[in-house]
This record gives sequence, C-alpha cells and structure tokens, in this order.
Amino acid sequence: MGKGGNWYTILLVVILVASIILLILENIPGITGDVSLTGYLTEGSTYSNVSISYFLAIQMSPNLTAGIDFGTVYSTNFLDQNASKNWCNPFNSSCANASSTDFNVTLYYVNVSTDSNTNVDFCVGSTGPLTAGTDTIELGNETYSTNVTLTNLTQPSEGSQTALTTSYVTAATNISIGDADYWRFFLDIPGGQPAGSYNNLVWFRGVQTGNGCGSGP
Amino acid sequence: MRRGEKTEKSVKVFLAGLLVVALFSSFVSAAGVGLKWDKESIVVPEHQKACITYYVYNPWTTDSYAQMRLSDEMQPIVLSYDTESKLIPAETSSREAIPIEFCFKTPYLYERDCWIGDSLFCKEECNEDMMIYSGEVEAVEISESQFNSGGTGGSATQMSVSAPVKVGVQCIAHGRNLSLIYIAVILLAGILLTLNIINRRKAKKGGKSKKH
Repeated sequence: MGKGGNWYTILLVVILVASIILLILENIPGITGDVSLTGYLTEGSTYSNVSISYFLAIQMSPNLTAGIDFGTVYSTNFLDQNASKNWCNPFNSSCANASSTDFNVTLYYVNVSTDSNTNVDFCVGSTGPLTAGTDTIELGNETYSTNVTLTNLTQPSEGSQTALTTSYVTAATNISIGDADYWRFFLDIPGGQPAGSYNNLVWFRGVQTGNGCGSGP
Repeated sequence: MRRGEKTEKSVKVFLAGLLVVALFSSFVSAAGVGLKWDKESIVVPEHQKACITYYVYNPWTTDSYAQMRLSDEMQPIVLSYDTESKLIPAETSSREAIPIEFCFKTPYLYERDCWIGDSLFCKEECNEDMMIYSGEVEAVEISESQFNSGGTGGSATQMSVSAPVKVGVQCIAHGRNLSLIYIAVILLAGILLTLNIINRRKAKKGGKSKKH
C-alpha cells in the first residue's frame, strides 16, 4: 500500500468523524434553530392555572318525552291543530297527568336542573317532514310557540308560532337554573292530504347560554 | 265472607293498585341528562394525539341512558371515544359525573417543503394562521318516544345537551433533519474503512510470507 492508500484512509476517517459530529449537532436542540438555548436566566416565572367548569342538565316533561301527539283529525285543510297536551285541565280526559291546579296549562315543558351552574338556551329542530309511507306533511306546517317560565291560557302564545326546520334554531334563551321552558305545538293539515298516521322526530338541545345551537339535528 | 278471605282480597287489591301505580309512573316518568366540562379547547401539535374529557350526569330521579356524539366537523380528526350508550343512574350529581374521553389525532395541515415525497427531509416555516377544528360534543338521552297512534300521528321527541369543542392544530417550525443522510454516510464510510483496513492487513501478511 502506498501514499494513495494512506490518503484514502485519512479521507474516510475525516468523513466518518465529520458525519458523527454533524449527526450529534443535528440532534442537539437549539443548535439547528428549533429551540433557542437560553443561558444566565435572570427572570423566573410561575405557572398559573385555573380550571373553570360548566355543567348543565335538562329534562323533558313526561308528556313531551312521550311525544307530540296531534290526535285524530277528521277533515283536511285545517289550521292550527293543537297537540293533545297544549291546553290541559284536570277534567280533560287527554290530560290524565294534569294536577288539580293545572288549568289551561301546557304539559309540554323542559326543565333546567338546579344542579347546573349556567343558564341554558334551548334549540329545536326536526329530522324532516311528517311522513306516512310516501305521503308527507311539510315541516313548515308543524309549528311551536314557547315561553320561558310561564304557562297559562294565553302563554305560550298561539299567535307567535314558529315553523320547525331541519336545522337547529334557538327557540328560547337564558332559561335560569331551576326554571322550565314551556311549549305548545300546532299542525296545519293541507287540503286533500291523504289519510294516514304521519310521524317525524323533533329534537331539543340544551346549550350554555350564548354558545349557539351548533349543527344538526 | 270470612275475615281471612277479606284480608286476602284487600291485599290483592292493594298489590293490583301498586302495580297500576308502578306501570303508570314508569309510563309518565321522564329521564334527563347533564353534561359537564372544564375544558372546551386544546392546542395539539401536528400529527399528535391528544384527549379531552367531558362528563355526563343525571340529577333526576329516573335512570337514563346517554350516548355521546361528536359533530361532523370533528370527524376528520377523531381517533376514539366511547359511542356505546351508557347507563347514568338516577341522582348522579355533577360532582359524581361519569367521565368520557374524546381522543383526537391531528393531521399534517401546514405547508411543508420536503426533498423526498411528503415526509422525508422536510422543513416547515409556519407562515399560516393556526387552523382550528370546532364542533360540539353532545350527550343524547336515548329514550326516544315511539308513536303508534292513528289519525294525524305526531312527532317523537329526543333531547340532548351539548358543549363546544375546539382543537387547534399547532404548527411547529423546524429545519430539515439530515440525520438520515449523516447515518448513511457514517455507515458507508465505516464499511469502506473496514474493507480498507482488512485489505491492508491482507497485503501486509502477503508481503511477509513472500519475504520468508
């Protein structure tokens, strides 16, 4: 082996050592610019942490849990068919759950639990129109009115109806902890609507006041 | 009627009454659901996993079943959460709420300059604004009412409570990591050096044997 062989070995050793050094430098944080190294710290910092928790619970009334029943209608082209528990009295046979003090009240309501720490907004929406086989009653024909905290002969008001939609809309806002939100439901039956049992699904969503309904249902 | 028979009859009437009351109360009972959260947003570096916990409870007097759902906006990054309906016993207060963990894995979202493909020898400069996934976590009370009535029928009802969730994807600026290249060079140089040394030793041995 001559001089050329020596130079070759030296070159390989240099490449090997240089690569090892570069590999080490590459993986030391701060050298390659990922995180800058700090030295001689003269200021201290303390980590401060606060955890704010929110909680809310809601419950539908037994009659609302059972569903919104519009009963049997014997004619079409009929406006504002009442849901069966819209106006209840103790002597009304369809309102078997009405207490002796419930006169002209709606038995459709949603409670906000006292075990909540935030006021609640209620959102309402439906998955689609009322259907019976291939026949439908458009969702715009199903309407509701709502009143925060009050139910009597006139409240929730029949005059302030809002049609259900397939996306959530805020129906009632700022219901206080321990309070209830009262609802009445109405259905317009178009003229010539075929006979059948029409059904759909109505969703109620409770959210922290001001948070918005979000997507769905 | 004898006294024993009378007592037996009144017991039967009492039991029948109890059954009616029990049936009636189960028919009219209403379950509820509660949601508790102490964090509604997290910041996660790109291509990392992170979890956030929400809690369900039921302060009402009837047992309820709840199912957790996550809105569509969060689906691209969701890794796991318990989708089975959970029994929430009656009178489970917010203090005793049941934890449910939602885990997310963030994708690579920001522009990267790579030498090979999408993942080798990349550098990232992070000039874009932070990208945020936002949606809702929802606890659905699953006792959907059923409608079997005739006539016009009506609407079954379902209820849920929801809370916002936001996952911010953090971009971490970094230079190109050339470690792989250095390792390859080290290996190559090492092999060549070893071969060179072996050859030199062989040559030395050959030279000595010729002399003898």
